[in-house]
Amino acid sequence: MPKKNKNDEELDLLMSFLAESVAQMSDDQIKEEFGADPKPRTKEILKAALKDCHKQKLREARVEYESAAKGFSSRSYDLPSGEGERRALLSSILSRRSELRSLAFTAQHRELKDLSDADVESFLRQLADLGLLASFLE
Amino acid sequence: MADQNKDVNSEYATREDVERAVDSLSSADEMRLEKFASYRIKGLGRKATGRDHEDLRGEAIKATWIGAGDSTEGRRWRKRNVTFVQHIIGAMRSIASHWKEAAEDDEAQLDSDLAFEGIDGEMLSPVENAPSNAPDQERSLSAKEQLGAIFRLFQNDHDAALVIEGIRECWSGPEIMERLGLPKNRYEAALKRIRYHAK
Repeated sequence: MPKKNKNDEELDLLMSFLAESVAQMSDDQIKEEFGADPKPRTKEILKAALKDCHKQKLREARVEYESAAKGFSSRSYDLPSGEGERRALLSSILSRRSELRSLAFTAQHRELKDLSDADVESFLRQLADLGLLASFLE
Repeated sequence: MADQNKDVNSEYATREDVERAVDSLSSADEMRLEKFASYRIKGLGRKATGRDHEDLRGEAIKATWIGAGDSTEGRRWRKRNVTFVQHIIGAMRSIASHWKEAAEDDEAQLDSDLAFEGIDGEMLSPVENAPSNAPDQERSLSAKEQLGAIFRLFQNDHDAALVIEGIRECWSGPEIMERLGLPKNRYEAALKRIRYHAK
């Protein structure tokens, strides 16, 4: 461990003291002493940093979503191979477990016939992920 | 249980609180935060390792935003105890200290790797007298040069020279006034001159 540089320490001590003195000044003193300096950009800098934070959060959410989507699409499901058979399976499930209808249907899609083949397959996959499909396939 | 958590957490700012506080910063507070950051960065000199006062303010708000959304990371603003400006100043103080410590750790590592023995057997450090990494106008001035320039400026300003001596002794403002017999108005005027020339 090298000895601390005396000049570095003294400069830090002096500048820290000045920084703390600024922290304690009244608004009027601040305006009087620094009012002629170039306009501060603090708000702009803080907002830019917050924007970075939002972007970072979006990037993380996208990575998480893509990872989940990749897992979803690469997972194998033991579903009937034909579209008609899958639709029949879903119909059978919904007739026996009516509480699941609210999960399958939105205000726009009130009936099984309103669901696309892709919607039917997606819903069966979700039921499989929830462990609700196996008993119907047996 | 949820209500209990809400009560406990209400002492801490949310991300919306943080964003509102930024929006409502006064021009005096904008100046205060800028000058605080600027003096701290000047104090770090080469230990700022290329970062400037904008980076310091940016790090402080990022840490606050993270802390507002996650109790285990970042810096949480206790909005009932301190103002937003006090919180950001505290965050900058702490971040600057961390930067300094990190730079010293790096220097210690470099020093042990690069130190060599001089003619008289003394171990010489190539790091200790390295030039500043600070940006722009600060880059070429070492701590020694900056201190020398400040001392020269005030060699004929008795009050300012006394205040600087008090600071070097690690005295507080009230201690400087009391020990050196400086009235408050002369102390504050001297400090103002030092701040002006150290900008």
